[in-house]
Amino acid sequence: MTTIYDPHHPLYLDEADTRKELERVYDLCQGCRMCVDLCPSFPTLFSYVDMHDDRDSGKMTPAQQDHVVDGCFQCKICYVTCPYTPELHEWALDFPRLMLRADAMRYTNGHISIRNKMTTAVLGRTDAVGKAATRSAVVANVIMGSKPGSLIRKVVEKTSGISSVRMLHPFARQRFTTWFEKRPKIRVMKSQGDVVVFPTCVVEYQHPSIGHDLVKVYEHNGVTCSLASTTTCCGAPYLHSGDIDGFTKVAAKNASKLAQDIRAGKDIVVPQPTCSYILKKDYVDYVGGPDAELVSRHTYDAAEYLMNLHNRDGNSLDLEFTGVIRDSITYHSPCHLRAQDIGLRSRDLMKLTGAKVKAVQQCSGIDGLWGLRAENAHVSLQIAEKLATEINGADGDIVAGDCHLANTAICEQTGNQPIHPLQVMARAYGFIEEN
Amino acid sequence: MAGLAGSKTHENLKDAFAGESQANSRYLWFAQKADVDGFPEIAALFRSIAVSETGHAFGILEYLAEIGDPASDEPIGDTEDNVKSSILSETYEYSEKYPIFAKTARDEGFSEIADWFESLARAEKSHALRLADALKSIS
Repeated sequence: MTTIYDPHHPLYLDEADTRKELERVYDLCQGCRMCVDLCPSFPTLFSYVDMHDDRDSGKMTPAQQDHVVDGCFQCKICYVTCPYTPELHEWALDFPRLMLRADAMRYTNGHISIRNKMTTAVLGRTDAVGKAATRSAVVANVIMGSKPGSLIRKVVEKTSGISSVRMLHPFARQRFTTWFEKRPKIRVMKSQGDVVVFPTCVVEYQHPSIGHDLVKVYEHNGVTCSLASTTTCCGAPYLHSGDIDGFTKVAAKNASKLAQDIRAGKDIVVPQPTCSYILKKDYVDYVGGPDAELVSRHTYDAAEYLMNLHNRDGNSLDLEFTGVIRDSITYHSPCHLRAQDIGLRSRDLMKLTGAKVKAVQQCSGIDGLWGLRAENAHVSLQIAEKLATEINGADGDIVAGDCHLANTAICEQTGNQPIHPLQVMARAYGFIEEN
Repeated sequence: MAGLAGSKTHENLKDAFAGESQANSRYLWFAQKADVDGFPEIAALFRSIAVSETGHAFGILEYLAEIGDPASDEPIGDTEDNVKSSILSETYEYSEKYPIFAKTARDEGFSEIADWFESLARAEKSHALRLADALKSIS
């Protein structure tokens, strides 16, 4: 058994070694049980351990171990709450990273089902699907927009493994990068910063208006924006389905191009939490080297960058709001932003408009592809319902959230589409949403 | 969670939180003793169980936090509230609780314990002051 989170370690993909490490960690988790209500992994784990009077996790079969791994959707909230992480305790427990290792080990050893691979191929190739779908958005949205539970969706589920009951994000007709290149050029007065926007697949193909508003709010505040040298997928879908080679290839290419932007004096701004997490944390672990380190140090979440600017002297952001000001906002704080340990910067940013902001921290249970896979949809929906109850209970005038995937789940559950915090700011400055 | 405040379950959560928190301190103290007594393996066992008890206490506090701090009844959850609540509980300890405990101990003839309570009160005051500085820095 080796406690390793380094994917380059010779034993990282070794099945026997990984299974011994699963046994060690499962035993520690069953002694604490604090994470019982976070996701399906933990109740599954405890139910298997409780089948034996001596609570010996060593008696779990490989299939039972894998059942726990299948319940993890990489929300990282157990890591945020765990008292035994490598930074805090000699047990050096990083549950989500161990799940990534177990997934990679199974992927390498051919333990992943064909249907599971199909779902990854369809939803995970975000660039290929996104390019085709935005080009033929009218056709693509017949599928994406067809009613959950409809015949079309049932056929899609049978062939691809994408749940027939979940709401899917429709595709935009114009990609964010196309909009960016066509828009009238703006000269930023009193430049306070220089960034490249790494739009992420959700903003590029599905919700470019988040990107429009980001650029307008940044430029309004004296931050020059350009497109990142690479705007391809960060690689998260590969990593989260165990395809380490696929991920490392994409990540290495992106890290080298983004590092060129940074060496040209620019910072990187990312409007989707999962993707900023990947750039900040996972490129360092899987690619490593000076480029990945540089990218990690210079990547910012969209609200984080602005709040850093504001906190510098308190005068850097325009605090005159002549547009739509909300009295109260319910803010969904996404798991992958909480895992970045940067504070609730979007909440603080929206507070500058004078709004009262109430944060809700429940996970949406989507986490990339996990909640959209047919085999997970049922459990994921229960998690999303919990979030909806908290959102409805908070009763804000509007709901804001940085994660477009979680926002779709919130819309599915409550009927109201949340908006990105940068869009709240854009409306407060008086910018009108472009379609 | 609707209806939790004031319920028997709320009371039980507070009781459970006190028990788990105590267990942590008891086991850490037992571990120290086991080290001194020459049982390093038992000391390690106590330490590892003590940390588990902290996990249990955290889990209980997640529910209690929706209602308020079990020590001060003040709202807790985000850092500003947590600091405010801590200032109130530390202030209560140094200005009321421990001075009264010290007086009782002295009245009952336990002067050594009275001295300890008075010393504790001074330590708690320094905590309250440090927390007050921290509050200024974030609000």
